[in-house]
Amino acid sequence: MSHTVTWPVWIALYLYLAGVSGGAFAASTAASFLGERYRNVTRWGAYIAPWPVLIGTGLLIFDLGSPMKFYLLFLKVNPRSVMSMGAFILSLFGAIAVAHFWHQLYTEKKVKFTLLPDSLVKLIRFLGIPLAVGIGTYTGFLLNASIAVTLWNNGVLPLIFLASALSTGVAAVMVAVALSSKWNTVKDEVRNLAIVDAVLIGLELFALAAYLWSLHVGNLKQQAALDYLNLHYGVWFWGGVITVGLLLPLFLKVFTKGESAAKAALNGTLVLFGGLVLRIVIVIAGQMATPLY
Amino acid sequence: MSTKRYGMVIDLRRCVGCEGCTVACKSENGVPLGHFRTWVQKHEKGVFPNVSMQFVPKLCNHCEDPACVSVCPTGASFKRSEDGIVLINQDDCIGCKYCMVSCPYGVRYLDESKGVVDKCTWCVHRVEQGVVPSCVNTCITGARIFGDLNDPHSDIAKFIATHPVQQLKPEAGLGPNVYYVALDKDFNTTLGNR
Repeated sequence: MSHTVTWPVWIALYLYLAGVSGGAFAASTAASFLGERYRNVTRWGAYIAPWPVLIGTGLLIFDLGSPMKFYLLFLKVNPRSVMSMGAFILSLFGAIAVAHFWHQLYTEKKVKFTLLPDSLVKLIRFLGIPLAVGIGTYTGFLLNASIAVTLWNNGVLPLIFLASALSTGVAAVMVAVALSSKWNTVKDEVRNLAIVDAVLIGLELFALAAYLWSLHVGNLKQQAALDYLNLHYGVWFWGGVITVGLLLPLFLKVFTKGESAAKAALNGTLVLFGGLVLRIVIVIAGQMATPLY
Repeated sequence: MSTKRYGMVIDLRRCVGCEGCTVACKSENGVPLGHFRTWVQKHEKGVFPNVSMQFVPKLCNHCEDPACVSVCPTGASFKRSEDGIVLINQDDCIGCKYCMVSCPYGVRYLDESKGVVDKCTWCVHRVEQGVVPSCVNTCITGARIFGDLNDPHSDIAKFIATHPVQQLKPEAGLGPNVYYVALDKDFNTTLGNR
């Protein structure tokens, strides 16, 4: 019997950071289509989006056995491999997120030229949204494709990761907008972000319930994996992810009165924390619950 | 000439757990310290005085539809069409370890010195010269039989035709090409190994 962690915590961190970028980009571009009213969301989403995914990609390459050979991902393609497809989604998304960020600086006259000609801005942003969704989802399909790991090989996982990606991305933008300038000037935008995030949290809770239920009523292997998760990572999963990362922010949003920058920032931080713990628990517990031989 | 499909039978009634195969493999293939391409698992069960022990040699199963090949992002892991041997093209392997987390048999390792994943090749360099793999060659009791499953006159095909055989984790659905004789149910599945 052996419990082995082949993909270390760096991989979990990458899955998380890629999701935050995807969510922040989706929030920013969606806001840009809604006009001036949401200029701070557009702005801060554009500022945030490129960086987490770039850091995450660095971690990903760093974890390779042969980091200098990463370029082979683009020369040798395997259409059956989620990682092969993900490499293209990741680089296209990264390029669009950087272009979108640069264009934001250009519209604020902070840089003198733009990477996106005016005629293409809307189109590129529009194309970026499915890529942002793709970034959030493919990280789930990546784990899902491993038939050896029971906690990963579950069809609901990509949906959990998508909901978490969008939710954490929106939360990151919410924290930034809330703290960026005077409360009165941003409170309408923050309020709407919080509503969007609450909906996303609700969807994530639903997806998580479906995931846990499918394990609970599944075969002996699935039940054993769920038992392992509860026994060894229960505090982090039920305490960190479900309670602190999802239920508490939902409770604060729906059942407490009063709005302030501090409250919005706290809410967003809790969601960001929950998303991180979710990735770590799924990545590590999944492998630990699977004796390889 | 029809295509070959190599397979292996391990007759557990003959295995005495001497680890001769383990050593022969390491020596033949220069397997790095701390890693193994084949090894012998020892399982105990029962409560004294009603106890038993079984030795189960493990190695790559050279599956019909290998999980490692489907997930490999660069196609470095591949199954040879001419004989079904699953190999790794070390020039194309980037060491992402996706195959390692996807193989239900846990037979792959990262060769840290080369930065690539490696595993049992069924001694392809020997087999291509018409000689059996090193583990088969060295086995003191002849517990391992290697050969072409598609050739009805091969030793392995004749053996399988006349003996009941089992596979490891058949529920994974990958079609493993290593067959066992007298494999205990308790040591066969993921659950059994917990």
